[in-house]
Amino acid sequence: MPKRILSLVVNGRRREEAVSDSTLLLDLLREQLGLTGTKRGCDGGECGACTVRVDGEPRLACLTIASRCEGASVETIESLAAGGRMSALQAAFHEKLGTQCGFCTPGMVMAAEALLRRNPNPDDPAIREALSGNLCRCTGYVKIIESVQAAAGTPVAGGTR
Amino acid sequence: MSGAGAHPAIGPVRSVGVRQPLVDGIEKVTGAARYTADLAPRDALVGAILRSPLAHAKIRAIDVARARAMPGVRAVVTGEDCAIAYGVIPIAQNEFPLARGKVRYRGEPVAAVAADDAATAQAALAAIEVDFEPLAAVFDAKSARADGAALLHDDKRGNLERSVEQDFGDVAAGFAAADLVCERTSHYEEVTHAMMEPNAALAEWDAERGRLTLHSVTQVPYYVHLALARCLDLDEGAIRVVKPYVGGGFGHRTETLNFEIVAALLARAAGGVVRLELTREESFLTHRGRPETDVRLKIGMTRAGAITAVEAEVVQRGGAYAGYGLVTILYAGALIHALYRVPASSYRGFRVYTNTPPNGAMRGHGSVDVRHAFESLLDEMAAELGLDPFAVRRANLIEAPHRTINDLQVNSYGLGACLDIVERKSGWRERRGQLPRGRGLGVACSHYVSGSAKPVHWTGEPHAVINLKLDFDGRITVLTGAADIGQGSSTLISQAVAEVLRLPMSRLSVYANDSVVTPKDNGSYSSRVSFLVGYAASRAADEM
Repeated sequence: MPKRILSLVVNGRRREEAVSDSTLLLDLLREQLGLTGTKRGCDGGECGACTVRVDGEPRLACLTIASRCEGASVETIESLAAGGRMSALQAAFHEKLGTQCGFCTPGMVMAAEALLRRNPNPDDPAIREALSGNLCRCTGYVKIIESVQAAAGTPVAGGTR
Repeated sequence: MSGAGAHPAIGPVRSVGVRQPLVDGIEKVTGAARYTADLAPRDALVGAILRSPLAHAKIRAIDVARARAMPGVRAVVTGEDCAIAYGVIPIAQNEFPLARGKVRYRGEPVAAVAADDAATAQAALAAIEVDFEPLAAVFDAKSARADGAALLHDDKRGNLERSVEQDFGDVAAGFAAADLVCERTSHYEEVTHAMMEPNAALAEWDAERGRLTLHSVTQVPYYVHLALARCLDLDEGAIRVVKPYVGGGFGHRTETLNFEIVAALLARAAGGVVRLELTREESFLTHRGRPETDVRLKIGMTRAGAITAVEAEVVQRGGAYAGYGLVTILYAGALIHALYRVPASSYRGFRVYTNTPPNGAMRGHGSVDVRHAFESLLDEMAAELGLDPFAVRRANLIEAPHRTINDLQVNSYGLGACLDIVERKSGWRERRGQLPRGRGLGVACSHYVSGSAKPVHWTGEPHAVINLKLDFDGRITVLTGAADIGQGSSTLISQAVAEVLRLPMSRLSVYANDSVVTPKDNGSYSSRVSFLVGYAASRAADEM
C-alpha cells in the first residue's frame, strides 16, 4: 500500500512518519513511535483502553485513521508526567488504588484528563458519563471514580498544555 | 544520596494493615508498565494462527506448500510439529497446541505462520489448504450424552469426561429428619473472563545455544515452563519464562494456553523472535471460561432453619478438551461444604465433552453456579418457614476450627460477624420490603478455599519460595515467582517482608517472574498467593 509522510505533534514533539491510508493512530503510536502506554484491548472501539487526546478531545486511537491527524496535536498517557511529577490524575489513581492490573488505566486517565480540562469540577454523573466508554475488568470502577473525584478541583499539574 | 557512610536512621515502620499504594502503581499510571505486546523488538517476526471453521471434523490433509513458498514467510507449523499432548492436569492431557487428526471446536488452532509482517502472515494463512471431513457435532451437554451422539474422544463413551460421586453422612436420615424438603433445578449460562489484555506471547529462539525465552500473559509461569519443556521436548534448564505486567486473568491464564506453545514452536521453526498477538475474538475462543451448568439441588431443613441434608446433581458442558474439567466438576460438589454446617450430603457431578471452546477455571472455580442455586433455595425455604434470610443463614453457622464431613479444614470463620455488619449497615430491617418498585434488598453468602494445599504436580517441591537478597548497599531485593496479574501480590509480598523487618517498603524492591532469577512458585490461582506466598515472605524475613 502506498505511503505518504504524515506530519503531526505527539506529546509536544513534531513527528514526520510514513503512513498508509489505512494506518491506525494506535499502530502509529505503538509500532512506529514506541509509545506503548496506549493499549489495544479489543478488536475495535469497544473497550476504551486506547483513549488518547487529539487536539484536546478524547479519541479512540483504534478507530482513528492516522492520516486524518495531519497537523494535529496528539497526547498520550506518556505526556502527563512532566518534570518528575505525575499529573493530579495519575497521582490520584496511584494513591487511591484506581489502578489494579493497569491495562485500562492509560485510557481511563486520558478520558478523565479530557473531562477535567473541560470541566474541572465534575459531579459524579459527569465522571461516569466521561468514563462510560472505558471498561475495567478488575471491577475497579468505584475506586476509579474516587480517583477522578480526588483529582478534580486540584490544579491539573504536569500536562503539556 | 547522602554522603559516604551516612545512612539516615530508619525508625521501625508497620506495613501490614496500613493502606499502601501498589508497588508498581506508578508504572501503571504513567504508561511505563510494559505488557507482553509492548515488548516486541522492531525486527520481531509476526505470528498468526489458522483456526478451524468447523466445530467437528477430521483433518484429511493440510497443504502448507504454497504458504511456505511465499516471500517473507519464515515458518509454517501444523499438528505435525508437536505430537505431545499437554494439559494442566497430568492425568488428563488430551490437547495439542495445533490440532492433530481432528478438530473439535470452531476456532481450534490448526496451523500457524511466522512472517515478516502482519499482512504477509495473513496472506500465508489464506494460502494454507486444509481438507476437512465434517463430522456431526454436539453443542450442549444433553445432546452430547444422548445415545448415538457423535464422540469427541474415542476413549470417552457418552462424551463423559468425568463423573464424581460423593456421599458423606446419612443423607436419607437427614431428609427424614427435615420439616421441609425442597428441590429446584437451575440453568446457568457460560461466562468468559474477558480480562482487559488480549492474549499475547513473545517467543525467542536462541538457535546457537538451543534455548528458548518466552514472555507471556500467564498467571502461572511455572506451568508454562513445564508445558514448553514437554511439548518442545526441551530440558527445563534450556527455557526461560518471563511474565511481564499482565492485564488480568481471572482464571483464563492459569492453564498453559495453546498460543503460548504455538509461539514457541514458531520461534524455533523460524530460528528467531516471534510476536504472537491474539485478537479479542481469538482471546474469547481460547476461552477456559465458566461452563454452562445445570444444577438440581435438594435441601432438607428443620423448622428452625437448620440444614439436615443436601443432595445435588451438577452437569457441566465442558467444551472440547479436558483442561481443568475434572477439578471444576469436583469443586462444584466439594464447595457445598465449609460455608455452612452440612451434616449429610450426596453429590453427583458430570463433566461432558462438547464441540465448543474448552472451559476452565474462572473466579470461584466450580463453586459459583451451585452457590447461587443454594442461596436462592435457602431464601425460598426461609420464606416458606417464615424465617428471615439472615436467620436461616445464622442457623447454620460453623464454629472454627472445624473439619467438614468432606475433610475441608476451616481455621477461621468470620461469617457470623460479617452477617451482623451487613445486616446493620445495609439497613436491612428498616429498608427490606420498603424500597420503591424495581428495587430490592437481598442477602447471599459465598466462600472459597484458599491455599490450594493439593498441587497438581506431586513433586514434593515447596509450593512457594521467597529469596531475599541483601546487598552491600543495604538494599533488599525480594525475588518471587508469584505472578502479579493485577491483584497486587507483589505489593502484598513486599508488605509481608517489610512488616517483619520493620523497614519502610521503599527500602525493598520486588523482582518477580523471570525464571532465570526468581524461584519456583505454584502461581496465582485458588486464592493461594496471600496465604502461601505471604507466609513464605514473612518467614524468609524472619530468617534474615
